[in-house]
Amino acid sequence: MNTMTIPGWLHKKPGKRTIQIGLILTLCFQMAVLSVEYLGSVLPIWTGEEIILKTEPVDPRSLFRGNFVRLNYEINRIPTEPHTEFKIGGVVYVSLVESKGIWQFDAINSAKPRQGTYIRGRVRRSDSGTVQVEYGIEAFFMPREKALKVQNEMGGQAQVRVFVAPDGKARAVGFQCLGDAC
Amino acid sequence: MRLIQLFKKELSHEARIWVRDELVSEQQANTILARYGTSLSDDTDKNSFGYYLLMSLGVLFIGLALILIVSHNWDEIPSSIRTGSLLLLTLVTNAVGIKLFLSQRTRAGIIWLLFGGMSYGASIMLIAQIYHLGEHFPDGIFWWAFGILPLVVFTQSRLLALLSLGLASIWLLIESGEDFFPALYPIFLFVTLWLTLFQTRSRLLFLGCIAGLLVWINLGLAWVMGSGYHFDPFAEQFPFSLGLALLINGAAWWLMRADKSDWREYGLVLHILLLRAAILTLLVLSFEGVWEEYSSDRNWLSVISVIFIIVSGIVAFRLSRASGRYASLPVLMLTGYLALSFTLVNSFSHMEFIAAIATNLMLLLMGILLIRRGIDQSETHYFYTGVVVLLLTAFIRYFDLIGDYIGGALLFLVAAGILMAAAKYWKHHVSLIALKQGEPSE
Repeated sequence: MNTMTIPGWLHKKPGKRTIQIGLILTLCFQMAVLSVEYLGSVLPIWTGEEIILKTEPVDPRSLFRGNFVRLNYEINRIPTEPHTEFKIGGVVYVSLVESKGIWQFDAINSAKPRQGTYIRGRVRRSDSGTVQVEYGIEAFFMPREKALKVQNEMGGQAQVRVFVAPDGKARAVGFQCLGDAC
Repeated sequence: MRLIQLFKKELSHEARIWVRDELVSEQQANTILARYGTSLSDDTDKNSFGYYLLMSLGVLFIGLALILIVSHNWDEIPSSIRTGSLLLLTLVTNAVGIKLFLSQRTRAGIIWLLFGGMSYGASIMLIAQIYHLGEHFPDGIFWWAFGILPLVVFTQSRLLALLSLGLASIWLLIESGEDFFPALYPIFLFVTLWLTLFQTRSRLLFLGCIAGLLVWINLGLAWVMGSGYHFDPFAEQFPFSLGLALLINGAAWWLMRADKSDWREYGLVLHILLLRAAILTLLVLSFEGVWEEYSSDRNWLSVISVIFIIVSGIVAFRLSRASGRYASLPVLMLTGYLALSFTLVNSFSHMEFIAAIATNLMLLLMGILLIRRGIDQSETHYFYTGVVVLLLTAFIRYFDLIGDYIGGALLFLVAAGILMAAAKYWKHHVSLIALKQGEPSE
C-alpha cells in the first residue's frame, strides 16, 4: 500500500458558517455577472450617439444562442497599408464619417481618437492589406422566420441602427426599415 | 487490484441476500465487504437516489419548458421586464436552494441549486439575445460554468460538479474552435479533481478530468507552436500524447496501491481504459500506411518527443514497479517499442515497414502477456482481451499483408514461433513451480 502525507486542508469539509457565507457570496457573484452583462449592454444605448451602418445579413443558428442574423458590416474588413500589422485580439478604434446618412470607414488606430465618431473593436484576423475587426454588434437575434425574411428581402442592402458610446463601445438596436422585415 | 472492486454495489447486494438466507452473519458479511471498500449499508438508499435522479431530471425539463414559454412571447415583452424576470428567477431559485441546503435538506437544496444554475446560464444567454450582443459568445459559457464552480466547493455535489465541468468542457471546445486558447480550463479540473480525490467518489468525474487534461495539454502544445496567437498542430504531438498515456498508466498503478479504496478504484478504471486505448492504438499503428502518414523529419521536436517518451516510461516504470511484473513489464516493452519506432521513422527513410513489423510483434507480446496475466490472476477479462488481441492481429494481417505473400507468411511464422516459445516457457515455468512444491507436473 502507498502511504502519502496529504495536507489536512484537502480533506477538510468546510464548516457550516463557511458554507453559509460561501453560498451567499456565490449568489452575489452570479447576480453581479448578470448585472455587469446588462449594464454593459444598455450603457451604449443610454449614453451613445445613434449612427447607421451598412451591412449584409446572413442567417445562422446556434445551440446556445438561438436564431440570429449574422451581420457582416462593411467596416468589418478594413483595407490597410501593406506592411501595417495589428495584433490579433488587440483593441482598435475605427473612426467613422457620415456620407448620405450612412457612416463609413475613415481611419483605424490602436489609440483612442481625440475627436469625431469612432467605434471600438477587436482585431480578429490580419492579412496583408486587410484587417478583420469585430465590434460586438455582429449578431442580431430574432425568430427564424423573421431572420430569413430579413436575409431574403434586404439581401446585401441592409442598414442597422447602432448606438456608439463615448468610449467607442457599440450596440445594435434594429434595422433601418427597407421592407416588411423590420 | 482485482476487477471485482468495480462491482461493489452488486457485491453488497449479494451479501445482503447471504445474510438474509443465514449463510453468513452480518458481522462476517461486513468483514468480507470491508476488503472491497464497501459495507452492507452501502447502496441501501437506492430508492431515495432514484427519487433524487428523477427530481433532477424533472427540474431540467421544467427549466427547458420555462425557457420555451418565455421564448414564445419573447418579442412582445419589454426588454426591461424580460431582463428583470431573468434576474429574479436566478435570485429566487438559488435563494430557495441555499435555504433548503442550509436547513439540512441537502438533496432538495441541490436540486434547487441545479435549477438556479440553469436559470443563471439561461439568463446569461437570454440577456445577450435581448440586447443583441455579438461579442465573443464562448465567454458566456465560461461565466456560466465559473458561476457554478463555487457551488461545487461549498455543496460538494457531484451533480453540480458534472454541470460545471460539462459546461467548462463545452467552453474548451468552442473557445479553441474560435482560435482562442482556453487558459483557465485547469481551474475546473483542479476543483473537480479535489472533489473526487478528497471529498466524494465519482468515477465519471475523475475520468472526465483526465480526458479534459489530455485535451487541454494537446491544445496547449499546438498553441505554443503557433507562438501564442493561433493553434498550429504538429505531427510530434502524437508521440507526446503516447508519452502522456504512459505517465498516466504509471499513475494508475500507483493509485491501485493507495490506502483509499476510492483511489484504488480510480486507478483500476483508468488502467483498464488505457489498456483498451493502447490495444486500439497498436492495431492502428500495425498498418504500414499509418506510419507513412505520420510524416516527421528529424528536428528538435522529434528528438524531444522521443526523449519525452523515454522519460515518461522511466517515471511510469518507477510508479508501477511495486505492483509486480504485469504492471512494469508492459511499460518497459511499450517505452522501448515507441522510442525505437519513432526514432527510426524520424531519422531514416523507408523505415515505416520496420515500424509496422515492430508494432505487430508488440501486439503479439501484449496478447501473450494478457493471457498469462488472466490465468495467473484468475481474471477472465485479461485472458479474453489477450485472446482477442491475438485473433484481431492475425485477422488484420491476413487481409492486409505487410509486404508481399512471402513477407506475410514470414510474419505469421515468426508470430507462431513466438507463441510456441511462450507456451513452452510457460510449461517449463509451471513444472519448476510444481517441482518446488513437490508435486508431479503434467
